[in-house]
Amino acid sequence: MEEAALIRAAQAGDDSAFEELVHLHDQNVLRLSLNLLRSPEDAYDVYQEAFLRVYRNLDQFRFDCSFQTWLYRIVSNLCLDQLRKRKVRREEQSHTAEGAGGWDRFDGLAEERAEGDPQRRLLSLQLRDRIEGALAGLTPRERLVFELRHYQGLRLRAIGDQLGTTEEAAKNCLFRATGKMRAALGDFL
Amino acid sequence: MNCEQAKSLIPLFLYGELLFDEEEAVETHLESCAGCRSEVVRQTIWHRALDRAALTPPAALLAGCRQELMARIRQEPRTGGKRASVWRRLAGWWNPGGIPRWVWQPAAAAVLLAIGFGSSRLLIPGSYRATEAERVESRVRYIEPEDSGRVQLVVEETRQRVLNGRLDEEPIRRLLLAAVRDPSDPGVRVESINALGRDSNTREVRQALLNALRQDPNAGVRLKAIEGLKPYAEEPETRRTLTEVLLNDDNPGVRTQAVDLLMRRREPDVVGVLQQLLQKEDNGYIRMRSRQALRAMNASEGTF
Repeated sequence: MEEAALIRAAQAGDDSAFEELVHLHDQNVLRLSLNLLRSPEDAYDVYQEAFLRVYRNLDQFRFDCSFQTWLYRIVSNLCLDQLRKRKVRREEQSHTAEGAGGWDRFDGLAEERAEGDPQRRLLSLQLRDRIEGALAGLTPRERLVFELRHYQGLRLRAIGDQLGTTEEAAKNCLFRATGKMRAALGDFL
Repeated sequence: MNCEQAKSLIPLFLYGELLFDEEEAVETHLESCAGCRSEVVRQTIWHRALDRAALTPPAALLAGCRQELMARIRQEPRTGGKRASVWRRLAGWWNPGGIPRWVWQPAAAAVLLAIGFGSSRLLIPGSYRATEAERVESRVRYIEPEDSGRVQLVVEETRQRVLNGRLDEEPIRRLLLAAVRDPSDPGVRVESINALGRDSNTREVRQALLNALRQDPNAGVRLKAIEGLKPYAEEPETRRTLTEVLLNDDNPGVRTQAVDLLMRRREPDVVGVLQQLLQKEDNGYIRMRSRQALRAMNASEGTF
């Protein structure tokens, strides 16, 4: 069934159509929230909350934008809220080692691929830490725009639509984000 | 356009986000400026490094999310009219030859109950020694109020059992082998492969691992299958499958594991495969491993 037909069926109360609709988009939603928040627990919460909001408000979806834009708007707002809360917490707690927990769960995969080559593994870990540090230096909006453009491959016009702003504002945000990232990683690469 | 202006536009140039005229101006400048060209190369390397830092959600996380979401949705209050109407339409479609509903609806409920009970019996013959606990989940699928004030329900019941047994017990192994092929849930497939991989010394289990490695659409499942096949890396059928995966799998993580396992034993039969691989592989690590292996076997990188 095509997406529009699934949406209409789900709006009429067909839960299996809703489930199919979720499966069309949920891998991207989870990837987006996991990469933005760097924590499986937070990504899990955003996934649940985003799709529950979609379920509760699907009747109000009127096809005046794409379903993906509507869904990503919800996910983006939830992730921005999380990032802002974290920023406030970090400022309150000053210099604690927050943020390291999320990475540890993924060590297995990265290390497994580099097994048998300690130098490569060390470099990979150092680079990962530097990138993590550089991402943490971005504001929540810069982080979101960078993630949507670099990792999700969305055009700046679509990002602007999604965030309720102009393409130009999204472009400036991306420009600031890449500048900060380059400054943070410049001597390492 | 001077170098300062060009450098300020390179980040957006690399994302393809410049206006047509700006892009033209940058390209013209790059043709004549080696310094800015090397800046483009530097930033391209930087992009690739960032690509490597991308996280892919583990299959088990996605499966957990889906399961929890659908459980929560089942608890959501339903918007009566709309949701009931689906079942009314279904009931209308299903009504055979105008038989009054009060005749077939209780019968349908009985049939559903019988199917649920019967299938659980068919699935697990009574001879296994596993411990079990049962839970029945009832779900109202159709509601028909009557003028008398009574109401008729069609109830679907799912019987859940907890089985606890050893991997070499036939019912347990049979269920795990079936779960490996369950297309609806990659998380269950990962866990099934993981469990089967711990006791993969039967031909049936090894075949299931090889099939999963060749055909499963989920990379997490394929990685688990490779892990389970490690003790059998030297068997001809495993090597054939690893070769196939190395040349055709679209996931670099899976190809990396395949090349590592295949290279445990460097034999002349892989020379052609590695040469073929080097012509199309773009992953640096896999290319390096292939070159090392070819050098160790005194073989050339190219084909003639």
